Amino acid sequence: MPRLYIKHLLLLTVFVLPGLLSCGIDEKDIAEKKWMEREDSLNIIRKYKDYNRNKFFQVPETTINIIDSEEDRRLPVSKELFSSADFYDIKFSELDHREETEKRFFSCENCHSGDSEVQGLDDFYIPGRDTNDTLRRIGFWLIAFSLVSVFIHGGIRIIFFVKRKKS
Amino acid sequence: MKVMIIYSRFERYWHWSHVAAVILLIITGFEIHGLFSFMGFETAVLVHDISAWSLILLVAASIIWHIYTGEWKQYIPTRENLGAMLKYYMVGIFKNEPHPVKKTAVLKLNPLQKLVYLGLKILVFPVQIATGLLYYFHNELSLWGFPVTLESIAFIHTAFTYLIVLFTIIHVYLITTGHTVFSNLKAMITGYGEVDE
Repeated sequence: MPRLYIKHLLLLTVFVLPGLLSCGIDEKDIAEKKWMEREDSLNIIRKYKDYNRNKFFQVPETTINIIDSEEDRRLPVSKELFSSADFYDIKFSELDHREETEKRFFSCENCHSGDSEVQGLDDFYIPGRDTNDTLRRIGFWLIAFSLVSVFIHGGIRIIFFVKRKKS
Repeated sequence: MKVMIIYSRFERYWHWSHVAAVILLIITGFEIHGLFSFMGFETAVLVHDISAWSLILLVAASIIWHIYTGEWKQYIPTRENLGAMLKYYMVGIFKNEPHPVKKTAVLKLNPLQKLVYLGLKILVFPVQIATGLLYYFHNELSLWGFPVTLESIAFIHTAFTYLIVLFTIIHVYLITTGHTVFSNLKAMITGYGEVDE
């Protein structure tokens, strides 16, 4: 009888309990579960669950690629998770760029450049990828105007200086 | 005219280390912002961080020095001769007219310089340092519920960088408007300069 009891308990634990627990999960949990089926994604989640700041950079480079693929773009979960607080923590706190970099599998430019691999996810700011065009234009004209003014002023000074010398 | 020490050793050290830090910060800052690629994002961030922390230490040291020596009084703004200075830069300088403000060891700055440097010291640099620190610690601050986005902080930080670039261009040009083209530069290197008696 005791043996049978243990067997039933095991069965309950392995098959029934997860089923009971899954009754309460919402859409996001289902989506997260789908996402976690992917080995790479699982890696990230696992890293997140018991993360070690110094070892985080062992995440394979596919971290970037999986969210860039067409398939992932079609899955709302990728974007949802990417911009969720959890993933935000991973991407921006764990990869907060002040950690040990020796074990990193991808360079900063994978995200932080005009050719950023993080495309199609525009609801948050990535330095190096996102620039304010209006500010850039104002800054350019401000610098150009000051340089031109300085050259004109300097040029007039030189002209007057030469005239004085001649006279 | 007599030649004497105008800029003390600390002032010169403070000025040139400011120059080095600000140039590095501008170049690396623009690279981080994505305006161009020069040394790579990672190196740019590293150099930017080191330069920024160095500049903060330098600013802290200069604040103490200014208070201790009373040199902060140089930056008290005045409207006296302000119009004359503007007129000098727009007209008088071309006709080789005498400088409207006599430079002495006690009075190093003209009214325009006083205004601009004061603006830098009480507005531009504090905003840059504050937004720089908010940028640097944004991840941690976000976890504590800090409401301002990184994009907004970056926007202000970049906008003020353009003002610093503007100041730098005009400042470098105005160096050439001393008694001779290089007299102001020489004074900031050696400490010695010509002053009105």
